[in-house]
Amino acid sequence: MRTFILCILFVLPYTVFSQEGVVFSGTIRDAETGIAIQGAVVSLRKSNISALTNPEGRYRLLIKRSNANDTLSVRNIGYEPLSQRVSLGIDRHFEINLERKNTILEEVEINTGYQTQKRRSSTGSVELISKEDLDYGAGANLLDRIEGLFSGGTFDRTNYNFNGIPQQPDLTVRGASSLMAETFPLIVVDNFPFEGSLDDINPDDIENITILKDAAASSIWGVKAGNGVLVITTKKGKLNQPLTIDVGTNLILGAKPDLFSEQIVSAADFIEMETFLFDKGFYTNQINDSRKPPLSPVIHLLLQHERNEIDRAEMEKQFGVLRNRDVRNDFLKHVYRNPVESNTTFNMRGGGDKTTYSFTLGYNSNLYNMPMNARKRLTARYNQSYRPIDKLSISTDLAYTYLTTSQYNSSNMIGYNQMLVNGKKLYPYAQLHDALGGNAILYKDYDKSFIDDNESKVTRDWSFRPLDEMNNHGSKLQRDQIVAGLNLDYEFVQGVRVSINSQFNRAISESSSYYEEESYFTRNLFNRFTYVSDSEIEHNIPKGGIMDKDNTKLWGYALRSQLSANRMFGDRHSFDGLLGAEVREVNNSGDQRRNYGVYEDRNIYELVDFTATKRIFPVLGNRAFIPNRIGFSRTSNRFVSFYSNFNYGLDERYYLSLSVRNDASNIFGVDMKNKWSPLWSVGGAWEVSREPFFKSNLVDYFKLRASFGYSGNVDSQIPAELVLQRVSYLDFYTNLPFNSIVSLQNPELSWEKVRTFNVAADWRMLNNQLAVTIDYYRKKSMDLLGSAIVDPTLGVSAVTMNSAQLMGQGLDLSISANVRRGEWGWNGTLRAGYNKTILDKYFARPQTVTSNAINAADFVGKEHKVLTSLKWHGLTEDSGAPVGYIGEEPSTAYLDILRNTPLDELVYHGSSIPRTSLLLRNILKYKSWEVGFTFSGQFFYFFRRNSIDYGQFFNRWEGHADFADRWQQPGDEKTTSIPAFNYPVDTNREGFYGLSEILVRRGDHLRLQDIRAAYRTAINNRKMGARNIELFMMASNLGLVWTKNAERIDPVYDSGIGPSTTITGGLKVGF
Amino acid sequence: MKKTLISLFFVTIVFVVSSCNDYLDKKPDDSFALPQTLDDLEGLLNSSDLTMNFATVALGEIASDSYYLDEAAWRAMPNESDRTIYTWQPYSPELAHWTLPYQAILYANAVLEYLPGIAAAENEVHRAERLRGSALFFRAHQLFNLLHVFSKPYLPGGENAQMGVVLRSKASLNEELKRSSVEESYDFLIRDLMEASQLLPEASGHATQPSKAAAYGELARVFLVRGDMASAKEYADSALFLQSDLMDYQNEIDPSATLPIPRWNKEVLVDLSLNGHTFLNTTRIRVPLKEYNNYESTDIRKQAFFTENANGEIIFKGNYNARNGNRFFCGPTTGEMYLIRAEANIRRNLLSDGLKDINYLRQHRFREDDFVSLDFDDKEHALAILKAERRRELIFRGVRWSDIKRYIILDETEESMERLIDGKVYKMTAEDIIDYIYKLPDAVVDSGNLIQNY
Repeated sequence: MRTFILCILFVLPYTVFSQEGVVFSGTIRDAETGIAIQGAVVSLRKSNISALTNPEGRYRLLIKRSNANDTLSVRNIGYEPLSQRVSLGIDRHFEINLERKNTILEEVEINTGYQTQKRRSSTGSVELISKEDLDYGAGANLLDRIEGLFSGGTFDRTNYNFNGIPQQPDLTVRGASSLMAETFPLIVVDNFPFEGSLDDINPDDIENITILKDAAASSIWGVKAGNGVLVITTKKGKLNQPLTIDVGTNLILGAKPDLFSEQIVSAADFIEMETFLFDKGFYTNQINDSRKPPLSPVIHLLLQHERNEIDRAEMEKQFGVLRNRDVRNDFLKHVYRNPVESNTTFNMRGGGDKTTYSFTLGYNSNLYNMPMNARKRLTARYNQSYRPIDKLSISTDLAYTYLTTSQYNSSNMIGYNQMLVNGKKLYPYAQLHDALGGNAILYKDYDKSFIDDNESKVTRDWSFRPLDEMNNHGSKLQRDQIVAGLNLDYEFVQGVRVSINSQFNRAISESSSYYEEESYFTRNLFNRFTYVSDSEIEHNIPKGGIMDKDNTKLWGYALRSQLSANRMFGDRHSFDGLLGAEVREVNNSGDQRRNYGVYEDRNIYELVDFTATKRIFPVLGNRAFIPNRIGFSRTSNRFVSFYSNFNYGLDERYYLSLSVRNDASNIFGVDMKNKWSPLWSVGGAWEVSREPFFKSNLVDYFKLRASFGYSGNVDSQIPAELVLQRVSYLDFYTNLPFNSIVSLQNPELSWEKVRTFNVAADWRMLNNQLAVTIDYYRKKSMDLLGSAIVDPTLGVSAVTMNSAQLMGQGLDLSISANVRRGEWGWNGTLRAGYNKTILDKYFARPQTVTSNAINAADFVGKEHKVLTSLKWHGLTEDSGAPVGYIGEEPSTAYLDILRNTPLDELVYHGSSIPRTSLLLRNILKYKSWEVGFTFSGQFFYFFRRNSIDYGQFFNRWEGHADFADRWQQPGDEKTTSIPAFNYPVDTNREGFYGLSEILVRRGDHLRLQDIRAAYRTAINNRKMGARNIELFMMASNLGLVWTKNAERIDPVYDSGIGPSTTITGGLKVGF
Repeated sequence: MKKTLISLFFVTIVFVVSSCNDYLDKKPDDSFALPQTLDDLEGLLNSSDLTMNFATVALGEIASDSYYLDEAAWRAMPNESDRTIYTWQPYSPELAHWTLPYQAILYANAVLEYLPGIAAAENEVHRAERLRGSALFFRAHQLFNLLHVFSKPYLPGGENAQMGVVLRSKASLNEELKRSSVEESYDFLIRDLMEASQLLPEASGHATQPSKAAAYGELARVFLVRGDMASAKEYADSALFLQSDLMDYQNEIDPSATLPIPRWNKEVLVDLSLNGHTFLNTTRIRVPLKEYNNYESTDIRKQAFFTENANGEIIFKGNYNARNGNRFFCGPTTGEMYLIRAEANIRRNLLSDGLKDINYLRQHRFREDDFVSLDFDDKEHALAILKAERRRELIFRGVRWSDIKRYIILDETEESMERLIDGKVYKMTAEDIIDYIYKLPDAVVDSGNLIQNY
């Protein structure tokens, strides 16, 4: 019957009325994706006629008697209604693009990894990162794309290393909930925890990400949920969806690293320091050392002068040359390049009556700023589902990642700050390219005199020329990862279903570092193992290169059986519940070896004798073992869980949730009963805006919710018994296998628990244009594993036990604005969190201050990772020495200050972790154009800025630029707080200054994260086949716009060099 | 379909429930082991480089007069505590001087504690005995050396109630830690060594593992320090009965080599080393001319043990483990056994017996043409010859500090030591030397209940 009416609706206009009146036709599409919308209602108000769009999105309206003007309106669920004044009279063709409704709707489904539920009925604290948010950025790294996009997350990038292949930043959700165990949130991809490297996830595969933050939301994940959970749902096809194809590509260009942002002493100051120390005899030992450690060029000049080989004028002349050098110029010119990243992704999806499919292919290529460092990644994902009968669904998820990286060998690194001279930082006046235009020699392991004396005795060149090493073979890694899932879902009674989910994953990495015969590493080792006497020469390492192989393998599986019910009982009661059991296992294994005499292209190697010591080059010693690097390892983690989760709703406005779960894992040496950890949570929600008494023109939706419960954290690698570990390498001295003690008996060892209480309000106002969520939470992390300091007479200085407790509380705020005025639009996003965590308990801590205690920042009753310092009085007038306090008295008894300052006389500044992380993004739209910019900031925390440490300066050549502003003569103490040069270095004085109040700064800062401009349009060109096109340009990492500290020190990258600015250009096309 | 799925559901649940216990017994890390086999325990004793054989406290050598630091080297030392203890000022030494010996003791105690629980197969009974003997030996060796530097010296015939060291006999965290008296400490370690000497085999299989001869050798050292000459002679004798070889320096050593003495040579009873940590290092220390001139010019040891640097300073290179750096050989050797027997004999007035051992040793240290047999006038002269030979043979072997104290106590000699730094002379009289002991590292006292020395 219905079909019949539809037929009539479509057919009638063509047949009966086609000759009379005016025809209005066109296509309705999704403005974002350009996908045709079926079933949208198109109507002309005055003419009082309407039509539904067909599967191709087309509509056709025939107006018999036309009014001069009318209003065309289009409505469809999930989209903003649209009305437009039109003038009638002739046939018109209207292409209409519908904007999707604001995504923060209660109809949105959230995926907890165990079930999907309506956001409306959720009692927990859940945030959603939509595809639109993910698509704003462009890089291949998931965490970069979601940084700041949910409130309560704190990203820590202080581990950024500009030389290597970038590391994943650290992420905590709602403050730390563990001291020693993992603090990174659990990552779930398509039902199961993701094992392996986050590098292997292609963000373009992702449909959306649900973040579970409180107990009601996350306790379903039990002992893995203490740090929050990120549930990633990948793209899937929909039933009866026509084939859609999306193609995207982008190119990201970066600047070379800003080496000059590093605050180091000038070459002139460095030479001044060396001259001074030389006169004091500081280098005498090194000069006389029979093993000839390398001396710097300045020391050589000073020596030559001392031995009357050159006169003072000549020495000064040479110093003059050196003073004007800065090796960073050489690095920028000869070593670093501009990084280039490119990404291409292809997605194809659709569905029929019984099947759905989605296929995504992604290719990422990264050329990092070091010439050899590069990464390529190919990702493929195929998700499909099949419904052979109405009640049964079978779906499979297949994901494959192939990743290769190449980089410099770890024993042959040539980046700035990687190339060390005898373990010290490179002197600033070094050069990589010499005056004659050749690649300069750097004496980093042996002195020039050693090389000059001995090079002729050995058969290999013994000099290290950094630039020669740039073209070496390096270290290559390749990784294949496959994740396959099979899911069955059967609805055997209406609303009641059994589902079985399974997943299998396997990742194999092979890495090989090849040191060819000509590389410095190989030449040096070959020469070291050459024994030379008057009559004989003995090579103990074969000719050819050296090959190190490292293989690692990860494999695991998960199996879950679940019974769930989702039913309405009568009109008023809704019930949603699940019950299930799960087993999961993850294994990691690795093996490594080294072969000598390898010619990489010819499969040749030679055996060497690792079992006996070999004679080495006589000046360097007597005998040594040939390094072998053989090692094996294997770890297994097993988990068994029983879980349940219930949600009851009354009148679609009162909701109650309950979840109970019991987990066990294979913690070593623990009684069976202690292996289990029962966890539970309860929650309630009240949708006030549905109450009859709620009448407001301002507020459209208002919901209150509260939850309480437990989640956990576990580290099964910490045993509870006296446990030995077979050390993965052989004893250095005897080459015998040996054991170490990893833990002493600790029968009380148990799981860490996190108790969370959460209250929140969600509301939308001003015609749903503004959506606000505020959460307040209190979090108590109990039985935390901590390192309890014990009497070293026990043979260990610290013992891991459940000894600590953290108390956190905070606010999460999320505001989204979505305003449209005609052709103008504005999207505003604010995400902010505030977290304050107190270290409530920590067992057996020392009662007096030591520098270790200050650095460890574990002060009971104070904030977790509180930044503390020693009181500062200034510099002395006569010698520029720093002055602290003993009690009320200014003092320079540094040892006393460092050892005996009572805890209550320390200066407690506050958290060294940002209490607030904030993201503010604005996108302005006009017609097809949009411009967006993002600010990110971190607030309410402190950091210790770097300064000069004379001990580090003299012994490790790490001199801070503050050296230039040091106290030099009486009177300076009024203008500077940087202590005078002192020799011999009083390590206590340096220690005091390094920990003093004067170096502490507020870390608050605001960054301009990006500016982005895009042109997006829907195109309906049948020849081209394109549905929509988006072109965008984006500039990222645009630097600090504000710092609380007056010196404008970047608190995140103060001890290194930060990421450089990048420019991105991209194109996305949908078919 | 319906039935299949529902039964599949229940089958999984039942499977999960029933197999839980076994499933969760899987070791989280293959390299982990509970100490359940002799291999497990032997692995602990094989941790030579990190724990067992390089842990001996070096503070005695640091306090002694076999070396000096030139002023520049002293200034260049990174740690305030190292600079201060060089001048014998009261100051907490670096923590590692304490933790490393006690870590070795923990490992030894773990072996002793878990060994009885392991049922050794019939053919492994001797191995189990050897492991127990080794553990006892290592524990005693560490305690013996700690006593020299953290406790006032043993006075023969005295009460010796002065504070000794902490005698640990468990591997657990719950053991009460307190300092026993010096008397108790010696009783404890002698008991350990006596038992070890019965359990240990004549050949241990590896130079880093103690043998019966090593236990006798260590006992000879202990009784020498305690002034019990009869026992010292007896144990030196026993050690030499099992192992008496001396290297013939003329034919077996190339004195010009960078490190002329091969490790694990036939004189070594067991290979143990002092750990000099941040302080004692061959590159830093210089040998006083007084020591250097103590060697006759024809003594091969003079070339083999020392070299001259560009500044004409004397550098030590005669380490018996062929290592440079901060690890100084301190194990008992056959050479030392001859000297202990000689000293015991001389002190008991068997003067020519004593000189015979000294000459026998010297025969192996000179070229055949250069060797001249030494003769003595009286006991005092014989003792002087013995002391000079001990210094020559055992330089940088970790015995000098206890030797000086013994000479002061037994012979009432006027030994004294001097160090010059910063234009200031630091001097220790014989009385000062007897009184000088180190503070326990501050961190030890801070985090426990042990009584500080002063």
